Amino acid sequence: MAVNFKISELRNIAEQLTEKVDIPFDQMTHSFLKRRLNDVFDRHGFKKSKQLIDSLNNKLFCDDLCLFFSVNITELFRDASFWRHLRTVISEKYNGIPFHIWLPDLSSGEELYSLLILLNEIDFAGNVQITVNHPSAKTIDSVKSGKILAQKMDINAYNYKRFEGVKSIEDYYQENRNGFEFNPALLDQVVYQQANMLKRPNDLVDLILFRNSMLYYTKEYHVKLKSNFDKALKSGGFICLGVKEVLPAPYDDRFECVERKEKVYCKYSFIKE
Amino acid sequence: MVRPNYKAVVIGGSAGSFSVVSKLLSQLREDFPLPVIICLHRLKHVRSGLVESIRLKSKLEVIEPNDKEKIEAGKVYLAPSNYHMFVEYDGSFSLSTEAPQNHSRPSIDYTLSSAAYVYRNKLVGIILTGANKDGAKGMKDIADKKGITIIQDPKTCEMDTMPKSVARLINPDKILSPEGIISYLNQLAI
Repeated sequence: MAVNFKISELRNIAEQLTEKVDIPFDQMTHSFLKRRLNDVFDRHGFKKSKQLIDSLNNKLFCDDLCLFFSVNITELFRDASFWRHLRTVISEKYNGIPFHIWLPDLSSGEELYSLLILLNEIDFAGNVQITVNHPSAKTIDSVKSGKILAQKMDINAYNYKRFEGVKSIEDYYQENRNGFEFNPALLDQVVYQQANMLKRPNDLVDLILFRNSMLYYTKEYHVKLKSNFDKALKSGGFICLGVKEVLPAPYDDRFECVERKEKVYCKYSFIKE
Repeated sequence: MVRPNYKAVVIGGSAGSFSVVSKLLSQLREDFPLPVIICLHRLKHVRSGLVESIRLKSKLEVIEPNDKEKIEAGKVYLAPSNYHMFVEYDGSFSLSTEAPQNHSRPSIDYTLSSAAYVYRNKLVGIILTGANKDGAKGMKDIADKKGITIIQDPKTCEMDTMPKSVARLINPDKILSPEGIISYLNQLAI
């Protein structure tokens, strides 16, 4: 049963959630916040917002909330043409050079697993450092486990084919009783930060992979994210957004959109770090 | 032209709806004063083609919006493939990669319900031909907010499941043929 939240009530809940949980709920788009809160109320049988606020004293509940507000329904090599483009960028720019990739919002494993497969296939896996962030311990554990649902494997295999991978998707997964498990050896090089997307890695990074995560936040928050990514990125480095996302304008004093269709932006190499 | 009583038109359709939408956009007045928000079921891995085809005949500008793009009067917006599309309070779109609804992404229910929440009784909702029940709940939300609800006459549909699913939930304000829908919308613009 949908709760008919008033706008002021939604704002109030968002502010209180932001204080207690390491996610900027107060910067979420209205429709997303409303939709997800409705689901939370349904799941827990809440009738009033006070019940939700009272539950925030429970650490496990807060972690569950982080997990629940992550959009973790994705697939391997979503937008295969983007991944083909990324393969070209990495092959041309970082051949034989150590580089650092940051995924500020690891909502689910598929984006990371796709990246690891790509790097493995161009033989760059030993050359790269990967840092990923998520505020939920549960999400990080789930990604580390490499588990993937059996029902997603058809679409994953289809996307991998469109990515024009050189092996077979089965080469990266082992089937077990619970579904499929990603090759754990490939996950060894990943550094996990239990933190929100504003927590930058200690070192500057060469590439930021942040696809389809801005969708759930306001335009004002996009500006903050852009500034944070700018601080995290080396000159000449790349930001990859989802194909229907845009870096908030104005950006052309510091970034150039180098691939309009796939939404890849490059920080000018002449900018001082 | 007088100021229209409505703020937006939202249209959902699935199997067989491409030709209806194409015809509709080719015959809408050039000075149609409202945004037309369209959510069609489409192949999730084919990103281009549909919007280009619809543009061919449309008298109005047709856009597949990016996330947070502003909604403007007199423009046609088509939900992008493999994204849900929502109307926000600030008059922009937001997109989402959340799980499919009714096996569909974009989900017609999501687009219609969010538009109903924002435009309330100033919205015209239309469901065209289609082979599943996506859109019925969204039309109910429009009806609950006292917006206008129109379904394509099932007799004129290639697949009538979608408009009939709406009719099972609510009494639509109008049941019209494609020509009737065009004529009704053009009247809104006078």
